[in-house]
Amino acid sequence: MTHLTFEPRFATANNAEDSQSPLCDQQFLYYSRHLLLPDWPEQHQLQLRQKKVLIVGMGGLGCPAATYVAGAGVGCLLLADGDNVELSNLPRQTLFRQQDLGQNKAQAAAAALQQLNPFIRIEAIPTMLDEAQLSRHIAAVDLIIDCSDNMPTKLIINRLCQQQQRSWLGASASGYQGYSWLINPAAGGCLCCLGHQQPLPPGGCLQQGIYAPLVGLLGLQLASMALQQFSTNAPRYSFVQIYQHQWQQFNRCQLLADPDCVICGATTNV
Amino acid sequence: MSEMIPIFVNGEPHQIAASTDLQQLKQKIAPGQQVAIAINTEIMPRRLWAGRTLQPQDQVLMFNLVAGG
Ligand SMILES: [Zn+2]
Repeated sequence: MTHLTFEPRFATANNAEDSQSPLCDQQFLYYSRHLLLPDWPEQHQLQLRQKKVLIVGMGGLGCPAATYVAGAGVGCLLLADGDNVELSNLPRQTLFRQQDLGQNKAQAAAAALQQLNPFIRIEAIPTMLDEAQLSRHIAAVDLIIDCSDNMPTKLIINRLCQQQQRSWLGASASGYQGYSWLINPAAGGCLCCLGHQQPLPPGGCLQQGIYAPLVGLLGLQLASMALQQFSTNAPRYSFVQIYQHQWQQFNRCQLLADPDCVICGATTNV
Repeated sequence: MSEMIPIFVNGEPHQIAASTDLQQLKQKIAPGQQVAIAINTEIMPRRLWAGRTLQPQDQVLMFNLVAGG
């Protein structure tokens, strides 16, 4: 490959925040395969540099999602996770290596991603966010990607995004079952419209097991959906994509607002 | 004998009585379970289940959002 030597700190936060400066030569090279796409002019790359994305959960979904969002040049990533890297994570949590065992996931992921893309700003939040913190971060970013591994967190994000009328992406998986979604409050429909308000049995992948390639697929979907949200042809409706393992395919189903929904029903009826 | 029609539930072929609605199908396939139901390309709010009569070749997905990752 090339013998470009990267000065470790030659372009990070300052470049990411400077809206007017054009791409430098290294950035042109770095993003060249995207810039060759017919609908990906330099202007689009500069717009991505202005975007701020919050990723909640840096496990099997968050690692691939963050890798491709970072690689595409989204200018600022906030990565939140309170857990530490364990041996059983390594098969599917692709940003981690053996030397990361015991390290906080958000911090280990931020370090790995900064190596992958030195041109963006990456902040690690090494704690489990409480509701007030989540609410503040959601208000401060352009897009929220829920990669958490538990339903209570997803339901809090759902409620906060509904309150703040913010679009968000999410996914979940257990065993061979997997789902990804885009919720656009302006278009109607939310996670609670699916009728799963009651807490599901805890445990997740601890008890059910989890098919590693499926969380990878879902994480990449989230990254691609996030990039599409920053383009001009973003879907305007809310939807859920349902994985069917026997065909290894996803069915996209539009999420119709449930007028009886406790979270979005009242707003929809106004 | 009522007429039977072919539909698909989670990809598997099923024969059901014509004029069966989503509510009745859910009772038959997933009694007592908390599920969401998509039919063809739309997720139906449960309020509408009883009024949605199944048609031949309808593709029904019954699922329960699981958390993990
Ligand atoms: Zn809702």
